[in-house]
Amino acid sequence: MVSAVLLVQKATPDTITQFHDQLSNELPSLKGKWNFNFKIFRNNPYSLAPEVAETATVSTDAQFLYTLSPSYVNECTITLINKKSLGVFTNLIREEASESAKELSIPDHHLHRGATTGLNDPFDVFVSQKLESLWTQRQLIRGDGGQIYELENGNLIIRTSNVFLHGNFRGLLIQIELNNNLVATGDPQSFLGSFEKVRQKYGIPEGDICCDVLDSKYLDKYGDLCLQYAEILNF
Amino acid sequence: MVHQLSLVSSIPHSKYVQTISTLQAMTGLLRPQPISTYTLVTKPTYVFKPKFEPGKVNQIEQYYMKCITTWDDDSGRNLDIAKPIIGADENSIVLVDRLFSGNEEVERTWTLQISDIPIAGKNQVCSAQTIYESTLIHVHARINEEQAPSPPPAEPPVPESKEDIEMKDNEDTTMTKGSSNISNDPDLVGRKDSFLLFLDNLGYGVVNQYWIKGIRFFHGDIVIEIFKIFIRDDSHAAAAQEQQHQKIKLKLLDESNTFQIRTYINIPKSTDIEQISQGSKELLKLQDFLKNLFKLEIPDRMFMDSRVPLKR
Repeated sequence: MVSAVLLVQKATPDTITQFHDQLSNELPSLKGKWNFNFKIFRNNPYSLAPEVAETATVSTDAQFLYTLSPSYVNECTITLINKKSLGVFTNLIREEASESAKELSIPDHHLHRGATTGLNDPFDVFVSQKLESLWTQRQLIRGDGGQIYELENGNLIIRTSNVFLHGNFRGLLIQIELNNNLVATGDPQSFLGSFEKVRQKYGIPEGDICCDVLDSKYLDKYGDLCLQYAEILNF
Repeated sequence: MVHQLSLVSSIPHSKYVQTISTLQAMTGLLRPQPISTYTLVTKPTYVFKPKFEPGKVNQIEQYYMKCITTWDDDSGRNLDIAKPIIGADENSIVLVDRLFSGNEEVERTWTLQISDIPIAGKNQVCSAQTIYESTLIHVHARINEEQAPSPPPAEPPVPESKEDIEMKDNEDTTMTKGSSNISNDPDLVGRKDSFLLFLDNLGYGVVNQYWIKGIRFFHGDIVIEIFKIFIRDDSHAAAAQEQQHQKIKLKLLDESNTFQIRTYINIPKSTDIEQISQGSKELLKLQDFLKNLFKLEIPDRMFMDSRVPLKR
């Protein structure tokens, strides 16, 4: 799956319902509802590099840590630090996971050999509880009332969601996912063209679109998605 | 979040068989579950200097963090802890595979864990502490294209110390074996030291490491663990053996072959008073029941303080 994230900032109730109507005309299979949480943390300014610790009192460089937890991947938190380092965290033990969620779960032996207690916290909670000296939370962006449409025999998935920043509506987010065989995976530069075609075909409203990838040689479904959220949800 | 109630003890090697038999009889568990873990102890790389304002309490602390994974190479699987390990004995050498050499088939899972100092107070019956952990199942770090040609890609800047090891190992392996054994599979190359890079970006650096091998029994809600702790052997002789086998040589942290015992109950919520008092009672009962075999005690909470002292 290759993804793109599009944000329609000037969405009105009319454009949203119109877009949903249009998509329904394509007879998609509806895959239920979803929502997400996207948190932006900034480095704690009182945390200083050892070289400058004697002279400076606050750090001047800005570093960011993003966490994304979409509800359609169970109990999973994707985190991206400085838009280059990615980690996927989960609370789910494989033996407890349903068939579809097995891919992103903790291997059984990790629990059995004693490496985890099995009572994990979501990573964003871990960061805000225990890494406060390094990272402080700046923004909480929530996506609510999301719909999932599956088209073209499952080769195209469109997810829509209303975006709220601290409770204020900030636009309509549209996440487009294309199956690998519909794009030239070796050439991430070409993705924009492919997504643009999809956009026109299904009448998706115009907005900021991002389909950047972390590493052009090694596509990473979740990392790329989190990077795209970080680029787009930048208010 | 886990609220853990615990009591600890230790037994000499000679009492191992008796202890195991008693616990087998008591729990009815003939085949105790083996545990084997590898832990990196990490510390924030940055210095934290919060602003002190009169009348304002600053609650933010820096913590040491444990990164735990399974010890599941051949030595981890085959090591029999029932046999004593004697330093000079050729047969009891423990050699472990190097991690981060980039030739593992499956991506390693890591649990990041930070624990609070145990709760203080008089008349405590057991040690009670809160543990936060989160498990990482996939990492991926973008290595800048411009830097790519230099062989060790952006290594975490870790203070030079004796314990600090993995980085060097990493270099060793790349240098001695060359790039020939690093497959061209982008999956592996991308993974090579992504975890250390991720830790570095998170703001943590490795300061120490240890291995644990043991077994555990279950008795109601109580987990009883009996284990030995290993650390890397830094001696001169060990270095030669390591060179020979391309592995890391371990030695016991406590060379008297003493076993450590830890009994604990994990409670999902620290607010669940009923379960906590019930759990403490259970542990007390166990303490009384096993008092002739080993004496379960409350560990000194000061040694379990994971906070990094503030520099002013």
